[in-house]
Amino acid sequence: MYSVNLNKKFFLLLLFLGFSIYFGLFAGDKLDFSNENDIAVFFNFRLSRVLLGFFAGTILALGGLSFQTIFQNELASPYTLGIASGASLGAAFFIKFQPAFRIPYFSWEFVGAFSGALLSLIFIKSVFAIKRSDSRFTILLAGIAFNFICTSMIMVLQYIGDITHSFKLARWTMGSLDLLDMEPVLKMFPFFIIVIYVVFSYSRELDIMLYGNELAHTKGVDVAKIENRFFILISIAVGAVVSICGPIGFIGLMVPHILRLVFGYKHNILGIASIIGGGAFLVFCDALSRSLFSTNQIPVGIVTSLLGATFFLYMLLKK
Amino acid sequence: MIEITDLNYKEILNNINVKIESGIIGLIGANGAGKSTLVKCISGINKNYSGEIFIKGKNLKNLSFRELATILCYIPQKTFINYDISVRDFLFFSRYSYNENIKNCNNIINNALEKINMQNYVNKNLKILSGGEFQKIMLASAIVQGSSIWLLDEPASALDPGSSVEFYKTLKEICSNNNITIVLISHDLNHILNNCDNIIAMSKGTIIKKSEVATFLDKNILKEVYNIDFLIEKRQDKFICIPSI
Repeated sequence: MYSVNLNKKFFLLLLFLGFSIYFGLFAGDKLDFSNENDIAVFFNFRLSRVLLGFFAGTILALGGLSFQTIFQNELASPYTLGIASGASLGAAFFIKFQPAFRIPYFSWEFVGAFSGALLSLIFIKSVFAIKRSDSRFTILLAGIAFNFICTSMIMVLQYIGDITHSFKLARWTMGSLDLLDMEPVLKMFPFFIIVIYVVFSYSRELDIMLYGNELAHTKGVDVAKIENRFFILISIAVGAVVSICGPIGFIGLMVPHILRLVFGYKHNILGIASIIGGGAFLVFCDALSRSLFSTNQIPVGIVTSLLGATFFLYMLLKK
Repeated sequence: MIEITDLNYKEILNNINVKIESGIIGLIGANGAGKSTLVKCISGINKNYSGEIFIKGKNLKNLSFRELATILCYIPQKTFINYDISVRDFLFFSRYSYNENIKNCNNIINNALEKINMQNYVNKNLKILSGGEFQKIMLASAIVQGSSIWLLDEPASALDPGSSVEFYKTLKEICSNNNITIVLISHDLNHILNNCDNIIAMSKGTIIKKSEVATFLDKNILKEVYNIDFLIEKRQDKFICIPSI
């Protein structure tokens, strides 16, 4: 049913990826490749930014794809479930109250985002356990409530902080792919691989779970075990994205939804499409955020949120 | 095949003790009697029960979902198909618990569709099928799953009279040819009385009677189950059972 135009669809998606990468690498000031400084700018700023955007976009899209399937709800994503907000609160807490000592490899924002993501996961799981037999919309509403709690707490941190911390927090909560070298890219890479691994390992199970837990149970799928693995691994990976890039909203909501309309229900195909589409979309939005104003760039989180919120409204109205 | 001892679940099922042997077993009772809950306990979906459920001598709590799916197949009352999927792809799900090649899998799917005369539906979109057609595909999914115990929750509720006669005929054939135990929930007493080997009657979360079909030809027993009078007659070797108005 879906194979007729599959190659054509993937070709178009790859074309979008190619365009996004080109746009990401060459948007902004023109570079002179005979100049060593410009070559350094190309590798340290532009290439690393494109790679970071690609990895982060993929993690968010695959996270959204799997959560939408697990919750059998098109509005589920790491952002709407409150995981990204929990991670943001954790990271914001450590930006404000950074301990004096350092830990190897991980920054305190990293630790905070992980802890926050896990905290939100525990919150969601608790609601899920209490309201198991109820509509999954309850979980989403709980996620939205948790979002508000986290946003309020971040605002408290901003309010009680000094001007430097407040500015850093305000800037960080807008979500950005600003970086100075390849280090964040290398830190993100293992999480990129983990998310791809988990989605493709369980693609057949996700296919069945899309049609309801009862059906999945009776076909032999251990739904609870798979849900737990996804919750933990996706939350950790989203925590990594948030700790490095800040909260970048709506990619996990929008990209899987559009791709499902185009590519059908099979998660091995959707997984590949989400890697290309999610990565390409964030790289594109980042390049757009750098090109919209000639004098200054705006954080990419603003661009994705503007596009995503409009899309969210469209979906609500369509429902 | 299935042995249940001292089963309690929330406040819905109370002290259920029953042995289910081979054949087609009708599970009857008024709405809210606990039929679907009991079947969900046996199928491993409702977990937090007290008491023991043994499936083919194995304690249900010790069986993995994969193991259970090869022994037992549960067809729920309702399955929501929100996304486009072909009949073949949907039936392919029923082979999840088996490690086998796609060719073998396709043969099993084709044979199952042939048994229910729906070979032409293999590439159709499941989402656009009628309620009756969908129920037949669910029967095919039980055949494809290849398990020896089937739990069917109102499997023919959307079928027209002709199709439901055909449905039960197929069910009986499959049951006798493949030695399958079928637990069948239905409110259609005509089909229950004419097609089942045994009947289990439930009321308010307990089993009030388990016996051969002949026992249920007594109006008083059916009145105890449904709290309404029935007219039961035998015509041309078939039982006719209608509620008296």
